[in-house]
Parts: sequence; C-alpha cells; structure tokens
Amino acid sequence: MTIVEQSIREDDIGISNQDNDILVEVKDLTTYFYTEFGIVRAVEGVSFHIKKGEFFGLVGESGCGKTVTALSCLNLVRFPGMIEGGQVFYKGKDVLKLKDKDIRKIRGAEISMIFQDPLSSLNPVFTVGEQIAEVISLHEDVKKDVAKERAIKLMEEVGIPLAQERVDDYPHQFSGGMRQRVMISRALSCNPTLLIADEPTTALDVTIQAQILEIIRGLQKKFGMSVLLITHNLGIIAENCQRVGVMYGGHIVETAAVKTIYKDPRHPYTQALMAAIPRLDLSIDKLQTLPGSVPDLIDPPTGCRFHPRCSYATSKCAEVVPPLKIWTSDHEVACHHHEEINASKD
Amino acid sequence: MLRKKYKKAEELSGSQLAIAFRRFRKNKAGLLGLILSTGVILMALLADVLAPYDPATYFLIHYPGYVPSYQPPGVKEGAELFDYTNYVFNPSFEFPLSEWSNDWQIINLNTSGIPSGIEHGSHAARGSSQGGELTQDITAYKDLFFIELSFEAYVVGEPATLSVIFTNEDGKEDQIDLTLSENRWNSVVLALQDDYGLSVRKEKQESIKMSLRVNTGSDVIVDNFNLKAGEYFKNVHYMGTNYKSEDLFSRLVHGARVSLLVSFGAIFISLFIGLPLGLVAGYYRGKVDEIVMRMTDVFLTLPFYFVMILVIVVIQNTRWVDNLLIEMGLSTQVILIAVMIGLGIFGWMGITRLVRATIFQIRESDYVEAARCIGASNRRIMIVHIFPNVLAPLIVVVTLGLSANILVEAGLAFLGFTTEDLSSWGRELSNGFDYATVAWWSVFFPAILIIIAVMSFNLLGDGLRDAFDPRLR
Repeated sequence: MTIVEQSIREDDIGISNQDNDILVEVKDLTTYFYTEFGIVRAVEGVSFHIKKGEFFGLVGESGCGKTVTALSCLNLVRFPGMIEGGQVFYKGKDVLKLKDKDIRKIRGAEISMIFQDPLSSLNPVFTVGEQIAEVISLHEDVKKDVAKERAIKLMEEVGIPLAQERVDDYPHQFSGGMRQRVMISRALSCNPTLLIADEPTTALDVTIQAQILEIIRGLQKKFGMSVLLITHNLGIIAENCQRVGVMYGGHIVETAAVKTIYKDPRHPYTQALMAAIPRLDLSIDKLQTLPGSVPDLIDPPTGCRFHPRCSYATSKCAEVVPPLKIWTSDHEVACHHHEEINASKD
Repeated sequence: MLRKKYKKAEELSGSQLAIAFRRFRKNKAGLLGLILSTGVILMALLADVLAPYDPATYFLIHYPGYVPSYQPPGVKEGAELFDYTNYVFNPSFEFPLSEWSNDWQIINLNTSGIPSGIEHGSHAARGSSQGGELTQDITAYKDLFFIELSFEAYVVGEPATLSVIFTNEDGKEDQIDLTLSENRWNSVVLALQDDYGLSVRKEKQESIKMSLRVNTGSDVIVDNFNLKAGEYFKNVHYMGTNYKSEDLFSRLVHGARVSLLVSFGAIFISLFIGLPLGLVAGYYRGKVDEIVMRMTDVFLTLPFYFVMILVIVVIQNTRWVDNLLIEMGLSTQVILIAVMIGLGIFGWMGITRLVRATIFQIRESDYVEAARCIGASNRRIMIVHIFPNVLAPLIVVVTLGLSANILVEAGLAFLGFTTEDLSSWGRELSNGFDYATVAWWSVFFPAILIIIAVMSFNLLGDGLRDAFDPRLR
C-alpha cells in the first residue's frame, strides 16, 4: 500500500492524521456556485488549519471566497452553492461527512459564527433575550427561565449595560455596537471551541470596532477558544491575530504568523497588499496600487489566479496552479517563483 | 434612572406588532376603517338584537287583500285591518259564500217585501231561531288586537235577540247579546278591542270563530255585513321596506351576516389552500415552486366570474355535496356554500404568491443564516424564524381579500346566486334595482352598506400595511 492510498483511506473513514494541537483542519476545500451565468468557482483547493486557542485571520479582498470558506466549514453553503470536495476536520471528524442531525449539534455549540451586519443577523420579531436563550435551549436541556438567566449573564459579560432590563428589548432598540455584542453573546452562549467572526466590525464605526474586538479578544483568552477572524482590514489582523491566511480569487496564497506576513511577505500578492497600506512611519508621495482587477470567478485565470496581475508571472504560472508549499515552519506560500522573487531579500 | 432617559425611545419599544399598532393608531383613515369594519362585523354578530323585525315579516298595510308594496323610510302608524266580509251578501261580489258555514238562507230582498230604507243589495241572509248559526273564521296574520263588526238587521214580526259569539280554539266564548227592534232596519256597529270586551283575543296563528245566532222570536235578515280584524301598529322602517314589504333595515342587518360569513369562510378556504402552497413553494423552491407558480398562473388567467358561476352550478348540482349538506342540515344554503367555496378556490393565488415571495426574501436574510449557524433544524427555522415574519403581510392581504370577497359575493347575489330564505346585500340591491326611480331607498341603502363594508376593510388593510411596512406606501 502506497502512502497516497493510505491517506485516502484514512480520509474516507474520517480520521485526520494531524497532531492533537490542531482544532480545525481544512483540506482542499472546493465550493462552487451553479448560477445561471455559469459556475462560480468561489473556493478552490483551500487548505489551512487552526490550532487550539489560536486567533487565526483570513484576509483578502471582497469576493475572494473568505465567507464561503467559513460557511463551508460548517457545511452551511446553500443552493445554488455546492461543496465539491475537500475535508474539514474538526476534532478529528470530517464535518462535511456528518449527518445533518450531528452537524447541528456542532453548530452553535462548538463552532459558532457572528456576521457582518448585526441588525440583519438578529430576527426582528424576537427579543434579544429570547434569541440568546434559543441557542442555549437548542443545545442544552434547560428550562426557559434558566436559559434567560444565562442570557442576562452573557449580555453582562459582553458589556451590555442594564442587561437585566434590556434582555426583553428587541434588536431594533439596540445600537449597532450593542447588537454586535448581542450577536457575540449569542455565539458564546454554549462555550464554543471555535468562533468564526465574519467581518464582525465592518458595519460598525471605528471606536466601536475596537471595543468589539477587545471583547472578542478578552473572551478568547478567558475561555481559551480559537477564533477564525475574517476581514479585509489588515490593521485588525495585525492587532488581533496570531496567524493569518491570505486569500486571492478563491485560493489561499500564503499563510504565516502575523509578524512574518508583515515583515517578510513572500507571495507577490501579499507583497502588493503590504505596499498598499498607508504608513505613518514612512513618507511616500504616492500609495502603491495593484494593476488590473479582481478575477471573474466564473471564468477564472488558469494556473495561478494572480498571474494576470503579477509582474513576475511566467508561462508556468498560467498553466499550473501553484500548490501551497511549506517555506519555513509555519509559513506556507503558493507561488512557483517566490524564491527567485525574494532572492534579493534572502 | 438611566432607563428614564429612554422614555422618548418608548415609542419604538416593544415587538414589531406593538410598534405597528402604535403606528396604526396615528393613521386616521386606517382607524376609520377599523371602526367601520368592527361596526360591520358587530352588526352581523348582533343582527338578532339590532334588527327590529324578523327579516321575513311582511308589513302589509293595504286592504283589501295582501298587496305588498315599497314603503319609504320612516314611522308607519295606524290600524292594520284585514277585511273578511265586505259586501258578502251581495252575490255580485265574488267573495266565496261557501266559506261561510252558512245555515242561513239567502233571500232576494226585492221580492221579500222588506222595505229597503238604506241602500241594500238585492240579496240578504235570513236566519231564524231554528235556523242555526252564521259563522265565520277569522285568521288574522298577526296578533289580533281588535275586531270591527258592523251590519244591518231587519226583524220581521216580534222583537228578537241576536247574539254575536266569538269562540277561540280552546272553546272559550265571548257572547254579546243584541236586542233588535221589530219591523225596521237596525244598524249594529261593534268595535271590540282586546282590553274592552274581547277576552278571546287570538294568540299567534290561532283562529277565532265568529257566530251570529238568533236566540228568540222572529226571523232576522242581515245585510251589509262588515267584519274586519287586525291590529294597531306603529312600525319604524329606518330604511323603508323592500318590494315584498319586508323591513329593509332588518333585512340588511341580517344580510351583513350572510355577506361576512361568506367572505370570511372564503378567505379561510383561500388561506387553507394558499398558505401551505406558498410555504411549500417558498421553502422547497426548484420544481415544487415551479409547479405551484404555474398553478397560480393558470388560476389567475381564468375568467373569474364565468368560472365562478360554473363552479357554483357544479357544486350546487353535485349529489354527494347535496347529501352532505342535507346531513349537516344546511341543504337550503347550498348556493351560499357554493359561493363561499367558489370564492375560496379562486382567492388563494395572491396569498400563495405573497407567502412565497416573503419567504424567498426572508430565507436569504442573515438572521435565517444565523439561525442555521446556531444549529436550528430546517423545520424550526421555518416555523420559528420565518413564519412570524410572514404573518404581518398575511394579515394585510387577508384584510384586503375580505373586502374583495364582500364585493364579489354581492355581485354574485345580484346575479341571483344567493339563497332564497336568507337576505343578502347583493340580493336586496338587485331586488330594488328595477324600482330605483320610485323607491330610491331600496337601492340606496344596500348599495351604501356594500360601499361602507368594502371601503372599511380596504382602509383597514391599507392602514395595516402602512403600519407594518411604511416603505410600501
């Protein structure tokens, strides 16, 4: 039996061969959307892992597949989307192969998610207390008043003033930041091991953004959970995350520790991103921009999806999809030529 | 303390429904609609209390005979008399003498040698103490309050006593003895009221027998006999009467019951069909949705009135439906039920489309996604998270559907699709239609009621829509 065959067999029975330190491992995840205009290859061959207690960031521009990746992790992709392949191992089990009933036990209880727009993520016809208590009563066999008590405690924990009174208010009576706090308390109500935060601060103003991230960070430390933070804001990544994955056009192009990404980006796309950040410590007349536009995922470029915009692209880049290769421990890059490009630096 | 600062924000506190109703309170047109439609519903519910008369009572004031007629709105006061025997002894008058239990003889006055001091016909009745009785049954339409009796009697030879006897069905008698002078015409007028001499007052449909009996002495010849029975009345017809002399107000109040019952029944049937279809189409999408939507398209293309009439006629003539209705004791209401079912099965498309569209919109919303994220099952999402959001537009569409149903029911009743023994607005309108120029009230009031009912439900629906979703304005 060859090694390849063995790994396939192990995948089939749903056991990851990774070490215990890893909480979630995504392998070759591929999700397509079958629209009437064609197949949207939203996510293709995405692999990354999140360690226990880790703050992992997923960064990329709009429409590069960050949210679809997150939804795929919970098998929440809906019509016309389909998960075409890959595995998502959570605590060694392949989430994508679980039955609906079993995955529902994981959703909300072990892996929970918060969304971009906290108003539309809360049902307008129920009080926030009811909505927090709903999660608790879905996963735990507790009485209504107990669930409500816990909802109040959770609301206090995320810093909602007068939680005792506000528990019976409706979502529209809360400000944006307070709503996001409600969403967070809802996500945390069953002490999850992984919190997926899908652009949790995009809809909020900057001061509230900081508060919300502060809360998430504080709770992460307190409960020791892992966080998958999806954002297009590199500042937020730098401030919060331990490791980061950079996505472009449905592919992950680079994963590394945060410091490494900022100090030593190896993929041309990551480098371009870093160059486009306005900096206070340097005086630059003109901010660097990236030529070209985001690839059309219905008809994506062959090979490396970044190659039409990449100044280092060769014919190989247009033909072969570069695999995500380990560069140093904890630094993976998906580029055929990153060694030559960065030769001068190295 | 801090909470007090939110006092202003109280306006916006509470559930969606609470906010909607607070917004609705400020909508004057909507409030008017609410008040009027509540009035119409109350009118239907309290028809028995509100209606001064039984809708099937005829108010006949003309005599002789029962000639029904339109009467304008207002108070009708007077005596209602039913004439039994006018000119009965005049053979040229066609009142059937056989109706008299007549032991008396008919004589020819011209040849009898009796002086005709007053105007007489050629014939009279002659009775003797051996000749038995002249009797007449009095069956007035309503409770009898008085009897008016007048005749002229000629006594041949010695003075005689004549008894007028009223007997009710229990055999109880009132006897009035009259002493008559001889060889001349005696004029007799008896006016008997219930509180004055007449103790055998007729109750309900019971009849009274009147007899004339010669007690002593000579023969008595009776002529110019008049017998009237009836009651004093004071009828208030707020809206006049219809062509059958039925009180229009009572008819219309009871008609509200029919109109609303049919409309509500139909909307429930529509909901029963439309809601599950909409839910299924919205939830399963794909092929199921395609089939349901094509079904609504087909139903929407059908020429509504013609197919409705066809459906009604088919339902009306289906044996098992008939049998079922007879079993339920509703056999006389077959047309009404057919109209209700017909309206129901042609009114579900709007509901289906609305529910489907709302679900399409809601199922894409973030909070449904969020509900899936917390591990809620599909069924739970459908019932707990999606359905309450469908409720608000559903209330609106049902209210507007009610007014449409009232209108169509009236239209069909106007065309004659209504039960004979129940009044309905459309039928009153259609009955009054031919005489609109002489009896304006017979058209005006049914029409105005239909307008008020339809308008009030429309205003209510519009008000609710504005309250639930001000953006739709």
